[in-house]
Amino acid sequence: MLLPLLTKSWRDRWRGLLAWALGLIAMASVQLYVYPSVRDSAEGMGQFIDEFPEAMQVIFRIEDYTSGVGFLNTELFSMLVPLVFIAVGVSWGAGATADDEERGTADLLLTLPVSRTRIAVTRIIAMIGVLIALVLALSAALMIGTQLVGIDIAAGRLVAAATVSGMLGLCYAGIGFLVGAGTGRRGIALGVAIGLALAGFLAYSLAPLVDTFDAINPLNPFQWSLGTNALVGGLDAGNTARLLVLAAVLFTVGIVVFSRRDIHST
Amino acid sequence: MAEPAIALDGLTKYYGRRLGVADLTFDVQPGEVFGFLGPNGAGKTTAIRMLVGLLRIARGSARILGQDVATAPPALRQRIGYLPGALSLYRNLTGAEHLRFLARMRGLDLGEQIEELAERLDLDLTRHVHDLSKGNQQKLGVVQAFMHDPDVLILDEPTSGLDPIVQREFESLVRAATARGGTVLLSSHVLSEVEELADRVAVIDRGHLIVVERIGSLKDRAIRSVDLTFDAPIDPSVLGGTPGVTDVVAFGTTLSCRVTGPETELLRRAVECGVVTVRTHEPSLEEIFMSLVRGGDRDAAPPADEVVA
Repeated sequence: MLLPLLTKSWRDRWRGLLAWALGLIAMASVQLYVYPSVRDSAEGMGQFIDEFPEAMQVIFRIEDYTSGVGFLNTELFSMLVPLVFIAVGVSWGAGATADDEERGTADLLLTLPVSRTRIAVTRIIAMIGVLIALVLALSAALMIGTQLVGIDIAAGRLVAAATVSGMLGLCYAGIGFLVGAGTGRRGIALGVAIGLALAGFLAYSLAPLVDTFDAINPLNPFQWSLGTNALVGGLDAGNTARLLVLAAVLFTVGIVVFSRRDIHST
Repeated sequence: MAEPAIALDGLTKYYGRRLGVADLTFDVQPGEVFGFLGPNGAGKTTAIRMLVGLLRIARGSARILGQDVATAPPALRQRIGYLPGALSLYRNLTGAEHLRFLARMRGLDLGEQIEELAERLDLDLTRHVHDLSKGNQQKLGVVQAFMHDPDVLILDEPTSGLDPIVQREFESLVRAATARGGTVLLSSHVLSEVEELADRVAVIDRGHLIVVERIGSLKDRAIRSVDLTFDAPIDPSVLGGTPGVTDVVAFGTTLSCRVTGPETELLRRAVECGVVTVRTHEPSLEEIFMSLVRGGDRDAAPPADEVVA
């Protein structure tokens, strides 16, 4: 790891990082703020939900909306929070090495007396640091918020649910990194990673209704993460391992490809 | 002779099927300033990017300070200063922050060297890169190449965008580096830029090495046209068989011819025949360069300087 590059990576993008953290905290706060009124109108809400077409309830994993856990799962962890982590992960992953190549600063950075592998690893560590910081910010907001509105849930479960979303983001960051490291093009890396994330999300959401998607669901990172319902059961060892191994493979292949590639001038 | 500081041996690179450079072979000796010349797109940058490890070498090899760049550890680059041809800097940093970052990435604290170099080049380190003109950004590029006092400097079109005063300062930096035993590879598409500094030059065109030569002998090789005026009409055959003399044409009392190499024999015969005036049209270095890269097309570059002997 290269400390000057690590701190530079964070410093260069601290505004964006702060915005994402505040966004996550705001999302959690708004949802928790409306929770008491949802709970108090339990009956009406129940009817409201029941009137949704069944397919929609399945697709959006709408659960017992009036319980605290069901509410958090439906409102935050089934879509919004994972998408934020994927967006952040993909953005940092795609630009990890491709940003320097596209801007031409790779000519200076990669001719320093350090290996390309160390450069790439440092960029990856910076990105993991960002995801961890966002997991912690979200967890803290949820811990405080659930206390304030009286949802009875262990802090560990909140951290677990945030962590699962963070690891899902890490997997798609891995795809962004691999494509960016292989092509030197941030745009291509963003496009491929976001495309695959949308495809994965769609397949996961429609799995209960479409046999083909159901068949591939065991291979879908969304199933390994959102499918484990960490808010209820905490971290699942097997699925956590799947997410981390997939991410590790993507990053490793990306590093190997990057360290052997031609770096063209811009 | 000591081991060369830079040694290219059959260096070859293709981009897909398009040729980058083919079979480049030359050595740069320690303490030497070596000009690397060719028109834009000739392959200079391709060769340089292989030397500094940005491009992989397809065939052949390149050694710097005795180490094969394809297998050398990254630490070799601690002894190299590199100025990229198309310099791009981190625009959000100030000059001082940028240089400190690069120094720290080398594991060095170069505060004093940076200050001193910036002062010599008249570069304001407090300004952000995005506020710097092209020329000032280029100065920053020069500072980062020289700041760690490298043994080998690889400079791709270093003086582009520098004004003449700064160019003088740059030249004195290069001389100081070689005085300390450093070696400098200097690329340019303009011969006159390296004329002041370089001991020898390699000229490449369309990926192929055309010549490696001292600048002085490059001038000697050049074809000059000489007009000899006599006091009476004269027959061109009097110059027949003179070494290095071709294309003898008579216009009344004047003989015109083309000469390569020494003019001694030509002048001796001319004096014997009662020559009155001798006018030599000597091409500039630039024209020599152009005639080399155009495959020696003699009529491509008309003589510019007229020297009356």
